[in-house]
Amino acid sequence: MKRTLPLFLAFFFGIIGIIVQMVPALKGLMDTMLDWMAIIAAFALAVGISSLTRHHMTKIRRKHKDIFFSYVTFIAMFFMTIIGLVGYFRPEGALQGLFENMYNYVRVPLDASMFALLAFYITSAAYRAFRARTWLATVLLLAGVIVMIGRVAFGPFIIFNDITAWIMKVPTTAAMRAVNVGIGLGIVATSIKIVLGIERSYLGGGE
Amino acid sequence: MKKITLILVLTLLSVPLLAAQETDNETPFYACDVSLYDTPNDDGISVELEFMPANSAEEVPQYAIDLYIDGTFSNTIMVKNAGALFLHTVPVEKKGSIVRAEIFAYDTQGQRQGPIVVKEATSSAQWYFSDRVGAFIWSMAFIGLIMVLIRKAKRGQEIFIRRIAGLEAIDDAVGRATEMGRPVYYIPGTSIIDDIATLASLNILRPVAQQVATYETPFSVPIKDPVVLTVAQDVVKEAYMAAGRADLHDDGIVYLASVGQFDYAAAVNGAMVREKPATVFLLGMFWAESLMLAETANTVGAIQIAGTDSTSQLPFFIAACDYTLIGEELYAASAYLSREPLLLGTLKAQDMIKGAVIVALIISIIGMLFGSDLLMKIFLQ
Repeated sequence: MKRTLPLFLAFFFGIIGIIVQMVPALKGLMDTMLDWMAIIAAFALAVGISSLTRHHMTKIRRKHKDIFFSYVTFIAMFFMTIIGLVGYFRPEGALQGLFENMYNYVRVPLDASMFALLAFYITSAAYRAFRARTWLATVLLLAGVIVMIGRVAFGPFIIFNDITAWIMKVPTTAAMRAVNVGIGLGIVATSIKIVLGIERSYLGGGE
Repeated sequence: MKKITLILVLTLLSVPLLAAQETDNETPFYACDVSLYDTPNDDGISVELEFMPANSAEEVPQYAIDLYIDGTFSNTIMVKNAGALFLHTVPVEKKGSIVRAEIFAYDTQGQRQGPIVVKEATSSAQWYFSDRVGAFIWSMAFIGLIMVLIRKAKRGQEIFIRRIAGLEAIDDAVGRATEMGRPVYYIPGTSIIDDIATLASLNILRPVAQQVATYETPFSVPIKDPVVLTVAQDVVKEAYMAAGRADLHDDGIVYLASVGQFDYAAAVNGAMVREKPATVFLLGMFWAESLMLAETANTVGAIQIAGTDSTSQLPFFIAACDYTLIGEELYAASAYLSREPLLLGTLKAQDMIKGAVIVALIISIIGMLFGSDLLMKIFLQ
């Protein structure tokens, strides 16, 4: 039963999912199913919070060497939850403003800082990828250099702009489309395997 | 005399009729072209309105469209006369609703004239997408082919699958972590459960977890989505049981790191820097955090096996990781690792359909060269 019921549900809703993609009259049913997903996700959030709490509680209990980060997680989580909830029910108080300020002036800049680090990660990855050790890496290096110059071309270098446009439009698009055809078929095949119960690994596998 | 009197009477009577006819033949001063029709390919909850003014902006600065649904006034739409086509979708609550549009013109004095045109349409639901017939035929052919090849595979027919370096390296990667006594990290993407790439990644998680359990290697699966968390917990637990090492299983192996994109990247990067994993699997759907994770793994000296179907993130993985599963290889991984005939059958079907798509493309291109897009519409709509 533990295995049969999920397989039956996957088959039933999978078939409905295929049908609603073909029958416009059943679009309302699709919207209802998407609403159900939102409800399930809301319940799963509670499971997620429980997992996070358990994970860090275990670290604290075992006096893990990184115990400091677990304390930071707990303090941040409970602080934001409490001021968020109290602020929501008592909007005239100062806590709602504090919650918004913590979000806008602490969390958002931290997020932006992480995103900004991407530039350095790209540089170090590009350095490794562009080392001309093989002829394929050399082609990649040449294409990369041309595209970089083409993006900021001026004066006599404007020719690189046209070459860049060609590289992006012809070989890059061709390769992307080939990959996308494969991905599309892979998605369909995996979906069919799951709907028909052929693929069961996501349920833990086995019979 | 009687005849002359009769002719005179008939002539007099016909004057107003002729006059009326002349009036009918005259083009009315206020005019517009309006189409009101049921929205195609929907479930009967809207109708489409197309409005094109026929007067110049000097003659009629603006029009008003009064909408009635099932005889009840709904709303008025004011349309400035820009001489351009105006499109509007009128939503209705149920199929079979009768929508009436009455068009009024506003003259230069601001006086409302009309209604100059009245149109009616009934909303209705359609039972098939007229523009998805091609997709339906392809899907049915694909499903049929999968069935045939599964039956062949069940009968024991050998199916050749080319070598995928990234998947062949899984054994070595886990073995390396075991020898070094360092953990294996498995990141199943940062998307939600209804993303097929996430499901494909969870399918690979099982054999990896089983191997990790067999080698008694420390294992960590940080997750971003709570629904994925519950599924991944089950997959890992079952894998440890299948490996006969349920005693090694710990609820802390699979945990929710964070639900925010960069929070998650920061949490996982921090954990990697502190714990220095020997092997990192990055399989699933990723966005901007892909390179952050891959580069951090590289910095701590981990061997990285990555795979995604996001074409925008693939170049980052190829640049930063040791092995990359490109697009469809991610979906093939489950069959490749398990070697189950049923799963291998679908792989073969995938390749055959890909071949058919290439042939259809070539035929369609030849057709287009001869000026016919019929084949393109049939094959690739």
